[in-house]
Amino acid sequence: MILDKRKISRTQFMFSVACFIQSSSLLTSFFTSITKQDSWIAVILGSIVSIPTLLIYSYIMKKFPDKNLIEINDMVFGPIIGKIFSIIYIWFFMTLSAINTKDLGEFVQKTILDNTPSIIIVGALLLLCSWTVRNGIEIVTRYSLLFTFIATTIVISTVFLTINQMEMDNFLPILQQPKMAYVRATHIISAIPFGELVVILMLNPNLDIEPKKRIKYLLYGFLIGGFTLLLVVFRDIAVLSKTIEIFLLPSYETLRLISVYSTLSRVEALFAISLIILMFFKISVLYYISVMGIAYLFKMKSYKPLVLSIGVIIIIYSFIVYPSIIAHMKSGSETAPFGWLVVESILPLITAIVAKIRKLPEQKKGMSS
Amino acid sequence: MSKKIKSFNFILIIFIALFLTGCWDNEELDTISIVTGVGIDAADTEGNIKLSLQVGKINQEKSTPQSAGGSDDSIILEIEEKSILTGTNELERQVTRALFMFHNQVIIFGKEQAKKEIKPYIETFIRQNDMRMETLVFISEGEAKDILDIKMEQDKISSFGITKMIEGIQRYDETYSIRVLDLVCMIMDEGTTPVLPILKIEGSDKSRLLLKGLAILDNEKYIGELNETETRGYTWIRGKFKNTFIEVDTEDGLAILNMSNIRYKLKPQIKGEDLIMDLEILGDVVFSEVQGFHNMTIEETTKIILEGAKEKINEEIEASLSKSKKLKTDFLGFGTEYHKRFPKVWEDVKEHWENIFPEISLITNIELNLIDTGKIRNSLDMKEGK
Repeated sequence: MILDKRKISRTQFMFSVACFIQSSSLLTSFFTSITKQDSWIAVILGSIVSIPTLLIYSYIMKKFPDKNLIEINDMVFGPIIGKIFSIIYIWFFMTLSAINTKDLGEFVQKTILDNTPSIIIVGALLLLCSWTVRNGIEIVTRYSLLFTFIATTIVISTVFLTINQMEMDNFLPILQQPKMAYVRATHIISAIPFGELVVILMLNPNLDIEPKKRIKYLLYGFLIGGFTLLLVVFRDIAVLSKTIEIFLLPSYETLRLISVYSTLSRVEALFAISLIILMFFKISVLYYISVMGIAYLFKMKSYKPLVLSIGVIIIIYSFIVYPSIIAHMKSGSETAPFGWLVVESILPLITAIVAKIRKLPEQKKGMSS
Repeated sequence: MSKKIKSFNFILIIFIALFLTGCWDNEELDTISIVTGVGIDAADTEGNIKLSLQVGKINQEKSTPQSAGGSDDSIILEIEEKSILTGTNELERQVTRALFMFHNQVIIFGKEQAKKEIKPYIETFIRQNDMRMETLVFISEGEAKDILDIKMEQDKISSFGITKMIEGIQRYDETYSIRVLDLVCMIMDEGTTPVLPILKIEGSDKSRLLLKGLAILDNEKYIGELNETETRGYTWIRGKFKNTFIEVDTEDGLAILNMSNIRYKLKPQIKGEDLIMDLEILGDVVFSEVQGFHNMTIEETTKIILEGAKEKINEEIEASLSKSKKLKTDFLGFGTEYHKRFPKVWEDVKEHWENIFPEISLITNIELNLIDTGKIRNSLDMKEGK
């Protein structure tokens, strides 16, 4: 039973992964407020720590090349425990969609449309996303290459535009924060931008790549995304120095500072552009995955009737997910990483181990042949 | 069926385009007052400030023929309040147009206010979304309001005049352009006392603005200021000259040198128990003006002038250093250098840094490289030939 028969090509997959990580590169204050001028170290550590998790994902993808996460859960744990696992995952995907929707809505409202009710902003966005989601995964990921290209170009060009304001001294002193700060920041980075890649397990059956080569494209995309994140953090520290720890949107403040002889200023619009397109992508993917998850969970014949209703749930959820920005920041840098870690690393690990013990994929192959 | 959906989509798009767009929160040019400068002065009541906003006028009647000083290009709004935002909110009710803060050019603290405190008022400028981080910050000799109020000869709105002045100076000297961001960095850095440039009104008709040294803000309170020589010393140590003139006044004559391509290296060192700062300044010099030096050859003159120039730079640096030691406050940022390069040592000394830092010895090493003598080689007074 495959609900969405369209396939994703290699480049689409690779750039989807990159795009997915890049979309988090705009909201870096979760960890820059903790490690300050050493945040770049945390990014590098975070990416190294995330690699084992990615290997678990690729193991699962290799073993079950034409199954998505919900089906894998059913196969590995049986219908009852599998369903519980699936519900946890779906809750996670829905929460992520709601949080990201909230982030985008808040940003747009705060900076551009400050009198518009946020229901209009979020509603319009989700309407567009639902249109995309209805058309299937191939449409969702089709523009990933373009989006990555735009976002990377914006990052690189702003690095050049701020080069006169950068000071390499801002990186000093290195490694002088308390040790726990590095652990926390690394944990946050591996959980929030990188760990969210667990969503690719849901796209698994749609990949038009040989199972063995999937890891390669996954890592390429991961590298592109991670590198952009690193570059963004580097740029922000070099320009903002210590003040990076007090801003909620460090990248936005960096771009606001660009002014080339008062002819080229107000470049922060670029930040808005890249935030909106990347967030649109991320929300579309998460939205699609939530829809697919529920459709598979209830063994529906088509996912299309679900699209609009789940969109409405996401909108409502996004309004109630955090009572205030303070709660959001607190949860982003304190509680969420632990919760996310369970879903992103521990559950897939259990899945992989149980699958290994029960030697599941082999049985399946034997049955189908 | 699909045709029906298509026509439905078409109608939907038209509907959205017609009814969901619009400019219901528009801000037209004739409904806003563009704030171009903010002045904060001390008020008589404790805990209050006198807030003055300079509002640039937009509707310039072209028909008024050059009425010298007659038509005002800006107006000053004044109020006494607890904070900046309560002040602007109060002012909103007194003016006919909405205050528009995005184009604020300068923030000026009156000296009296700076003696009390400035930190709580900086906070607004970094928190509010309509305040920009590259707004310049100054301290004014006298009241900030007067600075906002004066009509400069060429620029009628003084805050634009100040910005232009800073932009001009910034081409050769970066000391005076301190943005909100830089100020916040200085406040947050460990082991640096913030400094802010001082603005002063001069001239018989009070129409001339002058940058006059730097104010030192220990714990964000005004405690003293640097005169011109000391400011130059500060600029040498912080490495902020891009190019500069050096006036060398020797017994034999006077020379003005133009120094460019300046490279700095400030290196903190620890030798045994002593803390030593190593300052290296390298630069190319060009003779711009030479007077005197009767009957001397160019070689002799060059030697005397270059020596004199080094001495001059050293004097300026010394002046600034001794000021800093006298005030017992580290506005030269030596503490930050140690914090960055020797973080472990810094942890031990930071508690009593104000006692340790006057013990620091500064070793300067200046190398000047004569690259050009201008259009002529010998001066009119000098000996002919070799």
